[in-house]
Formats: sequence, C-alpha cells, structure tokens
Amino acid sequence: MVPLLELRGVTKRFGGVQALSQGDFVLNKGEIHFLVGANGCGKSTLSKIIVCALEKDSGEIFYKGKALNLSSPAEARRAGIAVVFQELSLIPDLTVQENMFLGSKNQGMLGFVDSKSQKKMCEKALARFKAVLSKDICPETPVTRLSTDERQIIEILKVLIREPEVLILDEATSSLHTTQVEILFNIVRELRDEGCSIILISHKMKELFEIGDRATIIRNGETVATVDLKSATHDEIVTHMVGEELSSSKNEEREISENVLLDVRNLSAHGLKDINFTLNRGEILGLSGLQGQGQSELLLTLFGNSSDFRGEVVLDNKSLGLKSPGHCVRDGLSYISGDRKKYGVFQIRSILENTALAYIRKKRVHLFSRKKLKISVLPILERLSLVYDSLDQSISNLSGGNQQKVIIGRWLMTEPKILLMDDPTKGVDIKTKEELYTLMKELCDAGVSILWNSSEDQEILKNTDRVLVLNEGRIVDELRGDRLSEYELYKAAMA
Amino acid sequence: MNTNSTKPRWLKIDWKERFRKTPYLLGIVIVILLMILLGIRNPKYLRFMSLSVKLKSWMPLLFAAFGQTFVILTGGIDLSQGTMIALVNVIVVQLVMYFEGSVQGIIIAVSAGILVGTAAGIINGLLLTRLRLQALITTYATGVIWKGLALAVMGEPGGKVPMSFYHFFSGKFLYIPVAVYLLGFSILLYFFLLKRGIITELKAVGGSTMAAFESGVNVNSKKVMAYGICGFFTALATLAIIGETISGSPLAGAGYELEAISSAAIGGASLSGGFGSPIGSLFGGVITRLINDIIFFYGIDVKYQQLMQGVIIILALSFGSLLAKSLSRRDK
Amino acid sequence: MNLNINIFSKFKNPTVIAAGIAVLLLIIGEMSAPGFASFPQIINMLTVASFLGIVAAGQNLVVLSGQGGIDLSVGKVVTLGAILGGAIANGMDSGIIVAFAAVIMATFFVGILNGIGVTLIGIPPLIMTLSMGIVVESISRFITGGLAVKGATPFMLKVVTGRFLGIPGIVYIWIIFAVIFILFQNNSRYGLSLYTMGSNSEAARLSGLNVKWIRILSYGLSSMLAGLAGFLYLGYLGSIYNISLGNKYNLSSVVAVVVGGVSLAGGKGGYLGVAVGCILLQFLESFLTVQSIPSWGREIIMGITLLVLLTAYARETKLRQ
Repeated sequence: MVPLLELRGVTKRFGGVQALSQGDFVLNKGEIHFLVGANGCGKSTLSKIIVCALEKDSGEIFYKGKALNLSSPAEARRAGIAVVFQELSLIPDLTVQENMFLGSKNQGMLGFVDSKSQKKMCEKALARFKAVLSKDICPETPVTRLSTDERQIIEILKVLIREPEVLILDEATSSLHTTQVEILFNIVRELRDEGCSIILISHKMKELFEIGDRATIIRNGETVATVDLKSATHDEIVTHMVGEELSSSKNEEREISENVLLDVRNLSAHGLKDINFTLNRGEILGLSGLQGQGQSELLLTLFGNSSDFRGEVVLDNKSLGLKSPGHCVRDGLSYISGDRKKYGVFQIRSILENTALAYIRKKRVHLFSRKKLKISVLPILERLSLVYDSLDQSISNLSGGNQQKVIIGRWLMTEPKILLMDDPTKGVDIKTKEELYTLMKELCDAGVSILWNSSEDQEILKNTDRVLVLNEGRIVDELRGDRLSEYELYKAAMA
Repeated sequence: MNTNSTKPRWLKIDWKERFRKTPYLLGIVIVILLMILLGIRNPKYLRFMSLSVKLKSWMPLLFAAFGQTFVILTGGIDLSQGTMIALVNVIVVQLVMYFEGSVQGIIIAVSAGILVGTAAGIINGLLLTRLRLQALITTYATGVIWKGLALAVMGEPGGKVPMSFYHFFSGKFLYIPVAVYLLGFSILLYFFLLKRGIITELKAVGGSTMAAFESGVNVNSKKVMAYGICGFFTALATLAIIGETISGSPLAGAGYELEAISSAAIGGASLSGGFGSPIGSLFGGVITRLINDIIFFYGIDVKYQQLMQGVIIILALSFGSLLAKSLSRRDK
Repeated sequence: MNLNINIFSKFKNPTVIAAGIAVLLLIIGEMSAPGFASFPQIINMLTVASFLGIVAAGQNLVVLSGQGGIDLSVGKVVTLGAILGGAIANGMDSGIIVAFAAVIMATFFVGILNGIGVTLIGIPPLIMTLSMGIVVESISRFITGGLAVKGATPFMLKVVTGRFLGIPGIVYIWIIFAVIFILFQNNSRYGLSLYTMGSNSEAARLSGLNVKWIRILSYGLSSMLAGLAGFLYLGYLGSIYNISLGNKYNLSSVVAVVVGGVSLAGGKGGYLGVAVGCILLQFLESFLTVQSIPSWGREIIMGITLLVLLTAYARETKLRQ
C-alpha cells in the first residue's frame, strides 16, 4: 500500500541551528499518528514543513505517491493538508465567521461571498462544541471577546470546515480543558473513521495512549523511531525521547515550617471570589482544578496586575498594596509565565539584558558597568546550568526550555521571597522540567515559597506540598498528604 | 450575564456591539452635532446649495482619506500621497495643455492621471512587499521621488485647464451635484470589494499578518492591491483639486497625506491596522473640514484658529481612542 | 569558518554600512568636485549635521520605546526652542540662563503631553505628535507675532560658532553629547528599560517596570532634545526669520534613525549608528548640491538612495522562511 504522506530525509536549518537533521515519516490513510519528543526537538518544524509554512532545505515529500512541491499553506490546504497551529492564527478584530472562512475560496455567485451559507456552516460547526462554549457565541462574535480555549476551538473548526485529508493538530489541546478535549477527540475519531489521517503533536502522554494508533518519536531533529501504540509502553516512548531512562521520582514528604509568610484574606477580583489561604515559608503550594477557573487570575492579582481587587494580602506581617507589578517586585514577589513569548522574553535582546532587568530595577541601580553586571549574572545562570555561547547572544537563539531558565534567572537575581508561576513548564522539554522541579525544591529548602499553577495535573500533584483546588474563582478544596491524588483532585474540581 | 434577563428591553441593546460593528457610527453622530452647532450660528450653512458647494470643496480630502484607509486597514501607511497628488496634478495639466483643451485631450489626460496614480500606488506596494521594507519610511522615500518627478514635469506652478473641467466638478446631473455621484461611486466600489471578501482579507492582513498568511490569504498581493487602490483614489483627489484650482502645481497636495491619515483616525480606523472603514474616514474628513468652518463661523480670532484646530483634533482623537478602549475591553 | 561569519556580520552592521557609504560619497565627491572632501568642507558638513544629530537622539529614544513610537512634532519643537529662547534672551547674555531653562522646561512639557496622549489616552503616536506639531507651531507664531526674533546672545554665538582648532563649538558639543548619550543608552537603568520594553512591553511590565512612565519620559526627552537643538540652532543662525525653520527635522530625524540601523518596531539600534546616519544624510545632501544637479534630480536621487539604504539592511523577515 502506498502511504498517504511520506517524508524522506527532510532537513531544515535556521541560521546556525539545525532544527531538523533527518526527518523520515510515514503517514497511512485513516490513522491517528502522534509526533512526540522533547521541546525544540523539531516536531513543530517537521509539521510546518509538511504544510509548507516553512521551506525545507533538502529531502523529499511524497503525497499520494507523488512528489509534493508547494509554496504556501494555502496551496497545501487546497491539496488537502491542513494544520491547527499551536500559535493561534485568528485575527482578533474579525468575527468568528470571517475568521473561519478567511483565505477560503468564495463559493457564491461570480466569486462573491455567500454570507448566508457561510453563516449556516459556521453555526453548524459551532454546534458541535456547543456544550463547552459560552452561550452567547455566534458567527458574528468578534474573536477578541473569546477566551483562549474558545479561540482554540474556533481555530480547530476553521480547519475542519475545509474537510482536509491530512489534519495536523499542533499542541491543540494544551489550552483546552478536559471536557473540551473529550469532544475534540470524539471528532478526531470520527474523522479517522471517515478516512482522514490525523497527525497530533502533544506533550501529554495520556492522550497518546487514549486515541493514538502510531507514534513517531523525534529527538534532536532526528526521527528516531515509529511505534505501534497498541503494543508500546510509556517507558519505551520516554526512553526514545530522552535517549536514557528517567527515574520516576516520587513525591517525598518534606518538613514545612509552620511559619506563615503570605496570608491572603477575603481576596476578590476579576474572576476571583473570596479567596482565603496561607502560604508558609519554604512551602510549595499548587493551584489546580479545571483550566481557567481563576488560577491565572489569582497569580496575576497577587502580582499587582489587577486594578479592582478587594480583600487583604499580608506578607511577613506587612499588608501589601498590590498596586503594580513594580511594587510587588520591591515587596519580594516574582512572576513567571508559561507564555514566554508574550510575557517573558525580550526577543532581540541579549541574555545579559534579559537576566539583569528585574535586578537592576529592584536594586535601584541607575548606572552600571556591563562587565560587572556579567560577573553578577554568571553564578545564577551557572546554577541553572544554562547552555549558551556568550551573554551578549540574543535570547531568541535559545530553545524554549533555556529561555525559561533565563527568565527564572531574572527573578532569582532579585532574591524573591515568593515565586508565582503560571504553568511554567508549558512547552518545556522533559529534561528541563525535571531540572525545574529540583530547583523548586532547593529554593524552598532555602526559605523561598512557591505558589504555582500547572495545566498538567500529575506534575502539580508530584511537586507540591499542598494543592488548592479552584472552581469558578473559588477555592473549593485543599489537598495534602495522602489526598494528593488525581482521584481526589478531579472529585474536588468537578464538584 | 444573569442580570440581563431582568433589564428592560432597550437596555439590552448592546451599544458597544453596535459601535464595534459600524465603526463610523460615532463619526455620524459627531458630524450631526457639528452641523447643529453650525446651523445655530448660521442657518444658511445647512441649505442644500451651500452644503453641495462645501461638499465639492471637501472632495479632495474625502478621496484622499478614503483611499488612505485601504492602506491603513492593512496596517500600512502611505506618506507619499501628498506628492503623488502633485505628480498626477502636473501630468494631467500638462497633457490637457498639450492637447489644447480638446475633449479627447481631457479624456486622455484624465485617464493618464488615474493610471499614473494607480501605478505609483502599486509601485509603493511592490517595493514594500518585494523588498520587505517598512511602510512609513519607504513611502516617505517614494514621496521624495514623486516630488522630484513632479518638478521635472512642471518646474513651477502654472498652466491652465479649460473651464469645462471646473464646470464638470461643480455641475449637477439630475439635480444632484456631480460630487455626490463621485462619492456614491466610491462607496459602491467599497461595497463591491466588501462583498468579494477583499475588505475582510485586508483587515486580516492588518490585524495579524502572520495569521492571515497561515490562513491562506495572499498577504503580498493584498498589500499591493491596497496601495494600488489608494493610488487610484489619490488620482481622483487630484482631479478634484484640479477641478477647484483649474491650474497645475508641482506643490499641490502638500500635507494631504497627514490630513487624510488623521481623518481616517478620527473616522475610527485603527492606525495599527485591522479595524476601521473607508466610509468612516469620509466622516472623519467631513469632521476635519467642519471644525475649520466652526472656527470660522464662530468668529474666533485668526490668531487662535490654528491652535484651536490642533487642540480640537487632539481632543477628538482622545475621545475616540478612550471610546475604542472601552469597546475592546472584554465584558466577562 | 568562524572568522568568516564575523566579517560577514560586520558588513551587515548598519553602522558600518552607513559609514562606508559616507566615505564613498566623500571619495566620489572629491573626484568630481575637488575640495568636497577638504577639511573645512567636512567640518562645515559636520556642523550642519550636529543639529540633526541632537534631534535624532530624541527620535532614537522614542522609536526604541516600541509600539509604533515616533515623534513627528520635533520639527516644530526645534522652531519653538529657537524662537522661545530668542524671545526671552533677547540678545543679552544676562538672560541666557533663564532662556535656556525656559526652553528646556517648555519643550519637555510638550513632550510629556505627547507621551500622555500616546500612553494614557491611547492616541496613535504618529497622529498625536503631528497634531501636537500644529499646536506648537501656533504657539511659536504667538511668540513671534509674525516678526523676526532677534535673540542669539553673544555668548551663544561664541559657543556654537566660535572655533577651536578650526572646528566650531557645536561639533565639540555634539561629540561630547554623543559620548554621554551612548553611555546613557547602554549603561543606565533607563536605557536598559527602554530596550527591553521596546522588545516586549508586556514582559517588561511584568518584570516590574513602569512601562507607561518610561514611555512618557521618552517623549519628554525627545521633545526636550529637539528644544535644545533649536536653542543651539539659534546660536548658529543669530536670529530667526522663518517659522518653518525646523520642519525639515521632522522626517529627516526619522530617516537618520532608520539609516542608523534602529528598528522602527522598537528595541533595537543605538546612537552610534544614528549619529553616523545623520552624517551620511548631510554628506548626501551636500554631495547632490555640489554635483549641480537640478533640484528635481536631487530629489529623485535622494529618494532612490534612501530606498537602496533601506533595502540594504532595514528589511523585515520573510513570512515564509
């Protein structure tokens, strides 16, 4: 049987970085095929080459037995290959309907837009996800009004509406919550049964075994293996990914002082209702629940990013004003986001500048010497075992995980009392994740407290002392000790 | 959300949503307010006759703002518009004079003018997309070139265009001033583009170029198209100027680009692209002109006129952007 | 291998390209019109460039701050600086300090208003600063009342045009200014804040920066530097007859900034490049004048040269890599 899509020896280089050194990949008709690998291993590059969003340097692509030579994603889509990117490709000021049909050929008379039939198709598509979308979403709703998960769903529908033969979902589930993912997977299964082939890129092992047929593992820009998911094991895949066996660390109980560092009393704000909790010195406190229940809002409010909050926040017996992030930094707080591109990284600037900014601001240094600054930055970056050529190198050349390390370094330099982290491991490779967990424990042993949120439930259960479960902006449960399990978490979150 | 059901019906109209859908709604409101202000002071102003004369004198700015908006929608800007007017102006006038004002000559000159304007716009677009340059600085550079070319064609102001040109622009057809037809034609063209889905694509390019590209919009051709359309309307603006001045000048159109851009901004277009409407810019242009008239009719000292003009524009913009801010804020 | 890359990247450096072209212009100019590259001639060109140099420094700050930052009121502010300074000093050295302080404060205030309009109210910078230009121009007109301002004091004339080692004072002023300004960009908290927030405003805010205030300050400084340039320009001219005196600085400061390798998207490009850009622009203008090309030809060549320079290095990245 001729495979539907085949890649042979595809390579791609960005400047000095070899993003893909050996891409071999075979996709059969009617299968759900996962692409897995640590971050920066080349998964996204590979998928972008398939849909022609990137030009390949060398190698061959065969589609339905013929060599594929296209020059844009639009052409690829016309050939039946479509992708849902992990970076959202919706235009905020356009409506849902306009976005869905953007770039598609007008089907009406003489090439005019047939907005009535478009509206019908749009409504039909929205109906599939009706249960998990806000009630007031209609084809005329501008996309700015939608939340992140809703946008992701529109993104998926936008691609589905064009009935592709090869569908690529690039981390499409990372911003969806469980029920939304379930619906999506049902649709994916339906599509497969109709003969469509689906390529899924995901960091979540659970999804892999839940719906995948086969998986291709990529390591350092090289496709190392393709496995049948019916017979493969979890460990086998992880071994292929990292090239060495990872020891599964258990959540060891740590001794936490009863010394209260942060006391939050009756905190209410946009998306938060009546939040009460305490954070002890040296404690790792997790925030969990379904996605988008106020975890991010709580972290941002504590970092002074909310203009209309009520209640009291006491740090070290001192009431905090939470006026602005600047004030909070001076008070000893710090904030790390998983959305590095948007909230963390200064793209064109050097590693040195990226690391030193918050420090210089907090210490009220007005003039500095770059040489001395480098010397003070070095120990921190060394501690984070950051891999780099020079401190003057642009941060854009680093991989996602290394960029996150720089941002953590930025905050460690300010010697914070509390680290607030919003899904810090999003899109970070497994190795760096493990390093981060270790770092968190070290920091807490040194007296720093951590309050963090993660979209991966296992991660947060494994790496916290206590977990607060949020539901619709309220704390509904607190898990500790033996109750730190997925069962208890879901029970509390779904209630 | 839940409180909605208890509100009376008229409160349920989502005004924010209304403004969002028709960005020029606010423009209409301001135009009416200004008209009332003028009417109070000088009732004659609001007569059909005087308004149609006014409209004719506004035409150059209205066309310029209308065309500029297509570029602004894509997130670009055309600073060469002013000198483009000069270039088209001198070419048309020279050609009319070359053919000694004959009807055929005028037709040839006018078509040549429109062609030159459109071509100049397309050249802007091609430079930007093929060489991947920044719009602001590139159109500034091409603007310098247009100025040079205009000076080459006609060294100093002069030349004469037959009065028939003037009569055409200030004339009427079926009791309605020609200017209204020209405006109507522009608006029709806009709706044609809207129905072809092209306006949506232009907005998409301006809203997020990368997202538009990944959605399969041919970003470069859309940009070139926008600059071409801008050039086309700039040529129309020039013809309207010639209809007023009936002579040529290599300095014609100076400052028009900036007036056009601020008209677009006052008319609700976002200068970062992706939001707005050429029709809104028409209202923006009218507002700009009405403000001048208000200053005049309210007998404000000439010394203060310019100051007032500047301050009013800033206030209008402040109001507009504060409103836009509250519109884009999420309700949730 | 490594060496090759280094040499290549040096050639891609805008400052190096601009400097190279400037030297090339001198050579060609000297060949076609002997005396073009003579020491006094070069000094003359540098003297004229130094005013643009100071204005462009402010423009550099605003452009670096990102989010479409641009200050198109600088031209009118230069005029205001000259006229206000002249009107207050009124040709007497005793009034020079008051005049200087008044110019600096008034123009800084204008810039702060620009910054407030842009950051707090949300008016697009291009439009905000242009409209402010209209207001500033009418204020200048108030001050002059349509008459010439005679007002450079003997001391000002001496400082700006007085020569030491054959070089006028303004060139020294510019050099000292440039050194301080480059240090200020690279080694001050404000400079670092400006670069980082130009690169990613939201991330800068979440790193604790008061992004709005820094942006407002940039507009304030830009306007203030334009006012300073105007004040010095008065010392150069002696008296002001023309209300449109500074208009040319509006866009030429932006051009100089871009030619000097500053990204209009913000966050990239320093003053060394900008200073070289100013010199290059002046060389180019003088070159075209010397070649006795008619004015229309000069315009066309100027425009094409700009396009060539932009193509050389101010290109954006491809959509599809």
